Amino acid sequence: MNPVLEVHDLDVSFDTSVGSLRVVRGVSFSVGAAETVAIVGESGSGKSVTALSLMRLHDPDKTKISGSIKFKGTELLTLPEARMRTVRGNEIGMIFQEPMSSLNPLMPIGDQIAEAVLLHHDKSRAEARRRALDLLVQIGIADPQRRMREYPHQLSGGMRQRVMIAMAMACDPEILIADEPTTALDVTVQAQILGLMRDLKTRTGSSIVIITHDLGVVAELADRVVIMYAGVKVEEGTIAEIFSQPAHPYTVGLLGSIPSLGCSRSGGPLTEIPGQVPSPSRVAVGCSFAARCGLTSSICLEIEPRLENVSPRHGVACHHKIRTPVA
Amino acid sequence: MLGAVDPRAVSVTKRLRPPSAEFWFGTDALGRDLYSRVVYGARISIGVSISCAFLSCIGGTIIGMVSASGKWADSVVMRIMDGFMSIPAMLLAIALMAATRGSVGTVIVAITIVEIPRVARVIRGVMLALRELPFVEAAVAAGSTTPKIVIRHLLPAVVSPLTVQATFVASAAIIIEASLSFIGAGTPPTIPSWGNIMADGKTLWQVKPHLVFIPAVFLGVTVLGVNLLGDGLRDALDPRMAERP
Amino acid sequence: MLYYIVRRLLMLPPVMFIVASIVFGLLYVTPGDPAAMIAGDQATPEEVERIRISMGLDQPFYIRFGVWIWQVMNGDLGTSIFANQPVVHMIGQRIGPTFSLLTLSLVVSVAIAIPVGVVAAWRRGRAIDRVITSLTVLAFSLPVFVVGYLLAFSFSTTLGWLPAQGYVPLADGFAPYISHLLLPSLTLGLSYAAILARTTRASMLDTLTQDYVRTAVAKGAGPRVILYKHALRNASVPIVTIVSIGIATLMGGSVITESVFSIPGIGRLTLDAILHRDYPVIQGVVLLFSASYVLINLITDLAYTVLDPRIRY
Repeated sequence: MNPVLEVHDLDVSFDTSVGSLRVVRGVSFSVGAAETVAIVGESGSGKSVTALSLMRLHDPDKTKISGSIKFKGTELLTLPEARMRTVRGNEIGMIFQEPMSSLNPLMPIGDQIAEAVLLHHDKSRAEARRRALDLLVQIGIADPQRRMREYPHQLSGGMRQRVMIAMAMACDPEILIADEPTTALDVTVQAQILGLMRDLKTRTGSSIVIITHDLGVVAELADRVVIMYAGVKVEEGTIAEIFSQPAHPYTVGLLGSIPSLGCSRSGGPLTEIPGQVPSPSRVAVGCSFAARCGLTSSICLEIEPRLENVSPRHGVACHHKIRTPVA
Repeated sequence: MLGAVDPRAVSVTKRLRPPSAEFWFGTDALGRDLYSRVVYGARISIGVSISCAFLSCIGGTIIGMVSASGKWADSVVMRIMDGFMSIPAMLLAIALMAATRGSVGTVIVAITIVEIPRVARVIRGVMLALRELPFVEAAVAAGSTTPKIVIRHLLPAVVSPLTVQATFVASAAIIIEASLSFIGAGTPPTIPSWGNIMADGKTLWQVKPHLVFIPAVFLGVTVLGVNLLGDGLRDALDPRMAERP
Repeated sequence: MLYYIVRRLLMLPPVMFIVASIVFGLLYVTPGDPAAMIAGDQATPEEVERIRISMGLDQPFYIRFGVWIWQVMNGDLGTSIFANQPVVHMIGQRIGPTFSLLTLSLVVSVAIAIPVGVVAAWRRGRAIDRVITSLTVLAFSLPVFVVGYLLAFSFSTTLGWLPAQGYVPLADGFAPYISHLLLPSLTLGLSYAAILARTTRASMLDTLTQDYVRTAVAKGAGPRVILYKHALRNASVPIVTIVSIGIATLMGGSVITESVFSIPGIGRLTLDAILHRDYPVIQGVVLLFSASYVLINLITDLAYTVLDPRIRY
């Protein structure tokens, strides 16, 4: 089956006052129909930048994107802006991290959802509003008639994120990109939002790209996982492979740092990966994780490891792949 | 100065001459040398501008500081300032000029009265914000007296917003002086300020537009320069300072 | 909300009282004898004395002030010294052209400034932004009357497209009415439009970086929808503030504009009053403009709640 989205050798750099920063370096991955792929990494790993690049949401004056992003065979990076607008919101929907600031504070939420419909479909305002109402019901908002007329500041954080989801799903997109959709929310609300997304996924059959630093979210939702570190894809595999046989020391570290509540997988104390993601302004030779890795040897400091497959769908970029499954 | 002759020298035989080697900008309806008048007018207009900037800054600072010094003083002073600012600036200047016999001095006073509330408001805002800052609180705690705090700590901090305000007043003053003179409520007509030169030229402007436009260019370039200086100072000294309405 | 409106309305009389006191007091704190000034240089002391008594200047200050305030509150702005007519009547006769001029200037300047400011913000740092920013600084570096002569010289004297003199009431037909008002309105509105465009640009630059603008892009909205529907609405509060404050600039400039284009409005009345030292007329005009200005600002404050549903007083 052909993938819905194919990202190949994506490179993103920003022009700043201190020069050009290469934030994403040669990242490739693909998303199949009805598949959920999680892109995981700490802040500064380039995962959000990657997500925004998929929709070409960066300021074109300050950003250079190269490589290829193919959506159902169409190259998005070279698509004229006017054609790109017919893709945004229509074939690819997006949810952002901050539901408070991501909704227009001066527009009733019903109008904001209806706008997404009107931008892409030749429908009357009344029809669009009916669709908006329908979506509010689907995402489980009580008293949707009244909520339609309310402004974002009158809603709770969780409800706002539901509205964002409704807006992103308004045109039944093929792919939903969710950039840290639960990070800004309370833990209980996080679970509800994830439940809603899983529910929508089974109902609509959309593919999902979810960007997160939370492996709990990944376990909840994803089919496949892409691990990013310092702008590079360091490991990729199915959820089972990543959780049971992580091969990159960084992935092992990340798995060690999820707090597990009554989960059987690991009962040990919370481990943290020492150090932090290197700044993209420092051009490093060798493996970018070397400074924080427990297995670093001389080769790690000299040669950047290339992604190699350890199984048909499991790839790792490391000179010292861990082959023993973690207990 | 600068090759100028007596700007008031009338010559019946040399009326309305076009620009030439003798009269660089030509002559006006009374045969006076326009170039000399514009050069002389620069002294008047710029003099008025600088005096107004200087006086409004002093007045505005005093009033702003009095206002910021106490709650009671604040509400009284600010209500009065609000009252002044409720009167459109140009009309207040006209009313002030109509009540006095025009002279360069009264023009300066009128413009200064118009501009003081605006400066006072900015200074008061800066002072109120400063009062909350730790170093001022520390000075109070250390037992410094009020005048000492004001002179040592607060005054230096108002210098940069005051400089920016001064440029705004300076450019506004040139325009207000010219406008007042133009409608006959400003500098006495015998004194060739830029406004008066243009007022003299206005009856003939359709046939001899240069009588208005040459002084206008000088005025425009001067005001533009002052405005750009003000914008630059604002950006350099405090980029957060609000745009002046 | 109602409480806020009531409180604002209650604040109106004190502000107007202060304005009235300033307007009235000016005549007395400024040096010189108004009676002598009105009588002129050739007047005999007896004539000056007669004027002084006729103006009530022989009464103590507080009595004169009390009488005047009482009259003003009853809609009597006094009698013109020169024309010997009630000031209210004189203003009433001249208000039409001035009102037309002010309204059209406001419309023209908002119509120019908003799109210009929006485009400058959208194309920030590009050539068009630089051009717009430079032109706005230039536009408010020129006095109104210079702008007036420049426009009249270009569009009337040189091109002959529009009349540069006089006023035709709306009753005599829309086309002549508008054609006579167009140049004066452009003149009056231009420097104000420059200030408004700068404010629009600054406010738009702020909103364009907001997350909800990115959401609109992600929805597939085009520049028009993003700029006008999402960003401009959110940028509108500071813009409306400047619109209402700027009306004072327009009022002041209208006196000069009317002089340039020979419009028989309140500005002309003011000029005549200045010429004849007709102080009651000047007081009346200043008071009228100030009161309108205070009222407009009040309405603007109340309008914020409509513009932004988050504002609750």
